[in-house]
Amino acid sequence: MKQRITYLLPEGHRADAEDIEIDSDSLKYTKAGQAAEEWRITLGWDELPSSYSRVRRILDATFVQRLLGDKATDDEAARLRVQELDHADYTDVDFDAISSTITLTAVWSPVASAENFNSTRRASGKIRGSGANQRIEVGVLHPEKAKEPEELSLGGFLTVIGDNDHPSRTLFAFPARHHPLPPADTTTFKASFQQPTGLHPELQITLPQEHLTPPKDTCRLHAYWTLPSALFLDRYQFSDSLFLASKHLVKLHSLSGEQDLEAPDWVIDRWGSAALLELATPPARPTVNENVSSQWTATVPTHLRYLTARPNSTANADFHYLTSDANSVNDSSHATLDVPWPIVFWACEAEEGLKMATNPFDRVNLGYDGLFGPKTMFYHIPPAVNSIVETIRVPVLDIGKWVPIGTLMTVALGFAWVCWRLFRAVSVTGGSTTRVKEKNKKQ
Amino acid sequence: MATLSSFFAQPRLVFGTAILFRLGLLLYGRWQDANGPVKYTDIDYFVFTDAARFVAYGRSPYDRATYRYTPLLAWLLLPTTWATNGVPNHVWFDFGKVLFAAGDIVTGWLIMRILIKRQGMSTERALKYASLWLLNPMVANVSTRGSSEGLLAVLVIGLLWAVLEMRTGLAGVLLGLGVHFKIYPFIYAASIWWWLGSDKSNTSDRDDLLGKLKAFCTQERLTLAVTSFTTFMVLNALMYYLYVYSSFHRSLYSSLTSNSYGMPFVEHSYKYHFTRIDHRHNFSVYNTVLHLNSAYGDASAFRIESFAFLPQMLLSVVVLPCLLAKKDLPSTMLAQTFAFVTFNKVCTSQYFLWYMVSLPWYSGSLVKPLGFNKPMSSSFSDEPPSYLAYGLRACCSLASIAGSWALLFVM
Repeated sequence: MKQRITYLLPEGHRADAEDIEIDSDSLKYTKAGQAAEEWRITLGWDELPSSYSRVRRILDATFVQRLLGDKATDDEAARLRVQELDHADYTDVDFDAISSTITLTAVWSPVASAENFNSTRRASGKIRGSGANQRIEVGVLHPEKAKEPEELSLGGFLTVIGDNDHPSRTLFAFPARHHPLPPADTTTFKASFQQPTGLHPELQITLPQEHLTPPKDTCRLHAYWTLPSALFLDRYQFSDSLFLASKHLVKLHSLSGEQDLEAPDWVIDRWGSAALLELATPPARPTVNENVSSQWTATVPTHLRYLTARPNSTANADFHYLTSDANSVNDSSHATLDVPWPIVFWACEAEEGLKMATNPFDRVNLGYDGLFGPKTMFYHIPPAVNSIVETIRVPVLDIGKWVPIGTLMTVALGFAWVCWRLFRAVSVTGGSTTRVKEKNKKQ
Repeated sequence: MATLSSFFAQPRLVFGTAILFRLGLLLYGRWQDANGPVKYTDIDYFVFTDAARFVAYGRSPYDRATYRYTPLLAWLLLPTTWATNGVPNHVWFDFGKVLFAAGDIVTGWLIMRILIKRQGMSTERALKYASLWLLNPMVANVSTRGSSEGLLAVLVIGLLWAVLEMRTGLAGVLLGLGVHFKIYPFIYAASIWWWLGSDKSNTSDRDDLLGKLKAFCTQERLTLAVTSFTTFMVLNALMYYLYVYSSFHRSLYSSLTSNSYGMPFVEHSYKYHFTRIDHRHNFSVYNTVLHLNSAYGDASAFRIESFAFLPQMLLSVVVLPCLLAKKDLPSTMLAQTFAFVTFNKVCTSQYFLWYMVSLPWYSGSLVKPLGFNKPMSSSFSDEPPSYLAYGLRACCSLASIAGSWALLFVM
């Protein structure tokens, strides 16, 4: 079992060797509360308890949490982190079939900026190693200015608990797939649903038009959106260029997941779908005669599936979309649906010869990066607000007894009335039982 | 009024107008498709043409989501894939719409022939009633938008014409084809069977059960039953097995080497219609019950929709044919279709066209309550006084129903 723990200080801070105290089997970084923390743990397949070895396909966070929880009973560093996985900014789980290893990576943002969660463990910055089999690598890093525009550079200190008694200074640079926008670019985006949403909610992605220029010439603006199963995109709608142009979209590049166009949500097994859309950018304006701070809006049309008034307790119990909001219990006529914002980024061609895999913090297979070529860089546009989940209220119909009874009575009465009229008419006019052979062929 | 009656006196004028009307709508549709984000063409037409494109590339039409029709339709629309390279505005793309509109015209012509020949109407009167269909903007709109109801109307009216002409073999073929296309024409089998009548002349010598059976199954009835059943089963078998068989002849036809239509054909053409749970655009009275039972299947005690077929089938297949078929076959067919659609579990706007095609002679028989079997009176040349009133009443009720549905959705 290998562990790698990285403290990454934000822009403007510098790592200081004096803040790092090293023992033979532990390390303490006093400024840990200000740094983001990445924890990467790698387990070999043979290290797994035998009961897990048969379960080869499931790598969801809950499973790994249990797995590591079992494994980490002796290792305090690992155990504490496992307990905090629920509060991580993101968790990646990777299975390498060639080397038969599972790698879990979790990242927490600095304690100071974490909204609801206060971790004394993280604020203390104490890492305790245990046992000779464990190898814990620790890095305390801060961003440096990179020489190449497409590279990121980090400096600071690296150490291995138990092997070193003092941290070793380091400075390295690597080409990175994912970048923030250039410092001068303050563009942010907003996403919201057009109100009222109705059965066909339209998501509006709004960006300020003023500085909406790509970081490089080859860049194209994209949005990647994961939708819960209750919402879906109709791919056939996106095939007409006139329609797309009216929505300020260029193309639906990819749509994967549940795409049934008719099914209600209670028959859907899958979690939902994911779409990669290319957004149109405003044309260059020759003269500034319009409002300079106008907004550019791209609209994505979606459709709602029918939902039930009560959450479906059988399927999808773990992927629950309906919020169990106390307020919504009283309102049995509506269900609430949480929909995450899309991510918006510029996808740009990278220069030749770049080796992005040398990035020690490289993340791949995020869902959208595989849809581009390997030499692609992403410049991410940040959301304008911290809360990036939209809530839709969806009307639902709860079962009552009047609808079935009413339908039954309507049908029965209608049928009886028709029959009564028929029989009455036939008995009055007298039904003929033989067909009179055709006679007149006039005209 | 003189110009109006002289207009209706000439088939050339009426049919010419109908054709020009549809042509105009087709051209307008092309313009709207090319210049607006909202298309004139029906979504279903894109489904048909996509499926035809799949077939042209040697694949199954059921690869296209929501294609729930017979493969015959995709085959029929193969010309839409000629030289288009998927460009929707290419001329050949509209071939299907032209076909459906032509079906409209043929239907109108058949209606006129039936009215003239069987009910002895004058050309002018027949054309007036036939114009309920020919010059009807709703009908023309549906066909030029690319909905396939025009083809079905031809089959149904053709069936009626063949039966009235006593060409039971042809009638059987058309009936089998119609049921293969859309399942509902099977209800006409009951009324036609009843109308064909038992043969009194055969029962003179034997009065027992066998004699009754012989009288029941006349030559005409048997011809109808055998030809329709054979046509239906041959078509089904063709769709199901054709592509499995032709895997032996891979080199011969590239388009026939696709996967077997097999189970997807059975599922999408037939089974789907019995188990469908899409509640949108559903005007049926069972709409909400279906929704609720689908969503809360365990909680609902009484599954009313399982019994929905009872009133529907009783009315359209048993009661109406037995009571009315011998009096007036076309009007019985109208009543049957109306009952079928009304008591059906699903009703979309296309279904309304199914009985609209039978309106012309019903309106004719409203004026003259005498059916197709009574001798003609000499007063048939009088102008029907209630024609206008009937038409207005029908239009008003249709408009008010459609309007209230629209209001419901808006609210």
